[in-house]
Amino acid sequence: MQDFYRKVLSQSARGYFSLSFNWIFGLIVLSEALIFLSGRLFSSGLAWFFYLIPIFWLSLIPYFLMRRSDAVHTFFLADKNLKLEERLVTAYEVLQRDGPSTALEKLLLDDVCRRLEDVKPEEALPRITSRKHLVPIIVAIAVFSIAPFVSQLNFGPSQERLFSETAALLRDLSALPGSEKEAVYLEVLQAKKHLEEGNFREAGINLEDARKLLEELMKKDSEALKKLEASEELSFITWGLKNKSTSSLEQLSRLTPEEKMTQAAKIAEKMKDLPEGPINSALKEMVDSLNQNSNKLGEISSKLVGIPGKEDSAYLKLSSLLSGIKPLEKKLQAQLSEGTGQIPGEVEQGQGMGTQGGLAPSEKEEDISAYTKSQAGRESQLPEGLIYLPPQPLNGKGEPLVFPREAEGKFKVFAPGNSDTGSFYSFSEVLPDYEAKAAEQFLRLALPPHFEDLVHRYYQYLEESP
Amino acid sequence: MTPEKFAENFHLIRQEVGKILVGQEDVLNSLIVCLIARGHALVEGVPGLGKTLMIKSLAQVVDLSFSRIQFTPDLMPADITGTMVLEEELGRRSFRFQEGPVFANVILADEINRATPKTQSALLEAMQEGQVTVARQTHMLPQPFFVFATQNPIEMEGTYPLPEAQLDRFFLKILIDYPSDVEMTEVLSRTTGTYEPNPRKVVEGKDLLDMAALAREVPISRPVYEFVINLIESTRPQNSKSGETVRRYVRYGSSPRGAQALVLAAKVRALERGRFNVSLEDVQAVALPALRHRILLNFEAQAEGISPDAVIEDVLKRTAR
Repeated sequence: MQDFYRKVLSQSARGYFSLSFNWIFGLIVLSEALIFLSGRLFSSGLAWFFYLIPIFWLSLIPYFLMRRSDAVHTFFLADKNLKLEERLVTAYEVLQRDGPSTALEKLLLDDVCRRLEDVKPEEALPRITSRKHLVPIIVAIAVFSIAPFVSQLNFGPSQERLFSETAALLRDLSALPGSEKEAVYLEVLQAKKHLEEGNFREAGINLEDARKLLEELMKKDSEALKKLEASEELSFITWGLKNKSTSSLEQLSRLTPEEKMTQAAKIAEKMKDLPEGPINSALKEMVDSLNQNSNKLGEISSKLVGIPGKEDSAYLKLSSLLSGIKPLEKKLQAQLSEGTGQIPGEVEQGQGMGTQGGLAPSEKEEDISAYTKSQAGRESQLPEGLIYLPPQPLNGKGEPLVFPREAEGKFKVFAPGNSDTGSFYSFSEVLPDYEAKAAEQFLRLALPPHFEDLVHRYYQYLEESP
Repeated sequence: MTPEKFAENFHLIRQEVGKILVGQEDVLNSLIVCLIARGHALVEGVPGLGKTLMIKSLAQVVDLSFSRIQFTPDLMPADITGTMVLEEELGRRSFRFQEGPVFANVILADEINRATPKTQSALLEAMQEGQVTVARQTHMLPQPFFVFATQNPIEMEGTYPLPEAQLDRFFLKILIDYPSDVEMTEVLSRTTGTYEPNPRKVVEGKDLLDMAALAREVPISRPVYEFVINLIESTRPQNSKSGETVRRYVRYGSSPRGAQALVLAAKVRALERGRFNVSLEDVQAVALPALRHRILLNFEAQAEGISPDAVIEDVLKRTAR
């Protein structure tokens, strides 16, 4: 009988071991599945596997504790299995308590022996040794196993999505047309800022790793930016395309019919290298218009800048094509200057127009109202097509008394080497920027309701005016 | 006393009483359990169900002295316990204790709830200590000593419900229900014909004491003890183990004496069934008679017609999970 109890307990141990093993194995499979789903490498999966091995051994500790403390419960459950009406557990307690001491206890042991004659220990064994103890153990093991994964999960609003989107943007950067690269770069910067501000965590990559990865990606992007900056030295038509501005292209309409035909011939010759596409067809239209001395160039230029920059190769070829038109701008400016008797400076090189002789320098302590009055007289003498940017009056501490409006903030107020007296800028250079900035401000700023209609009509008038 | 002899005696008692009383086997078994566990029983049932006859017959077959006390509102404690009487002998007068009807092995306290609380309480010492004290003299009662009280559940006017302290001293509270059709036919056949029951004495008082001693030797395992404890604790509304039913309808749960009654009754039942240990089933089987008078229901339960048995069955279901 003692042997039977030993066997049952041993069987109980095996049952527990088997059960534990099943659970641990299941958890390992679950962990691996989670690793696979989260896209980690197999090496990290292997690390988790080794992480689970100690848990497996730890799970045996409660078993040994349970076996010692809860053998009675084991036999109680075995009684239920064998329908022995608590004979088994009572006899076990009698045996544990120095054996039978009364006639009834002896009879009980005899009775149990007789009933166990044909019973195998495996039949007596309950499948689950003690649900009361086993369930908390299994829950604890499960929690410990899954906790690392749970801690890696990011329940934040959009950090992970932001990271993946940014990475995708950077991956596709090389395929983007030049005009969109800058916008992408700005987006990346914004994303980086969000990532740094937020508590970003992603399985396998911490914040530091994410930052390094971003910096590496941005290093690649800086090369693209350099190319982008180089493209700014292209002609005013290229500039117009890049900034979606039609004004510089419309300058062509001011040429004489002969000049138009010359330009048309040049463009048509260069167009042979361009692939077929919307840019090419728009340029063909432009050539036709130039040849016919038509004034539809404004419409055509609008169409041209409206073409989305999908054709990267076409864009680059167009840049080289239009580089031949660069002297045209100089000629235009010379014509404009001739009309007013002024000699234009090298605008594109940033030297500004000469104003030293024509304008009196302002006194620093001069009264602002008097200064404004004198400057008004100067402005009336300016040639058509140029705008005057007056020198900025300063106070006694050398700080500016007049601050530029926000729309002008991006522009250079003073030309290099001419900061005291102000300078002239080419109208064609300033106006597109001004238009773009004003439009941006218009969209961004909240206008008073009663002014909305007025502003709308003003811009409508500007668009419709020849 | 061997377990075989125990089971045989139990069977004989039941058989002999069965000659007089038709049916009511559960009631009879419970009464015999009380005899062997040396506990008192409160039998409740409507008039005419054979309560008095059953108890009287039981006393006959176990060869114990029997005494019947009809409880009435004007019954005095001295009418039960006995009193000091003045006696003259050889010219000298002295007081002598005249034993009351309580001095018997089996007392039938018929309609116990009709007596005043003062008189009811006269039984308290006898039931608990097996003795009575009159005029500062303590008199031991004959052993074994059993009180089988009856009460009528329908006639409440002019009755005095037993106090909780006294109720707790009853080992079991046994409910007698109407007999079935078959049993009724047999009752009519026996009582309206020429049949004259002649029960014989099958067990002596000493045998009962031996049986009681043997019952106490029955081993009981720790899980069964735990079950009993859980069961008792679950009847208390203040306990965290108690269920919604108990918390809603019970004012006071069972006392520890209830647990003792459960275990002892279960031991007797185990031996009666030829088993040498107590099983959970034994405990569950005796739970109703052992606990129903130990659970005090609140007003809400009474208003909704909830019986203590319903509460106990709910507790049994919850504890057995």
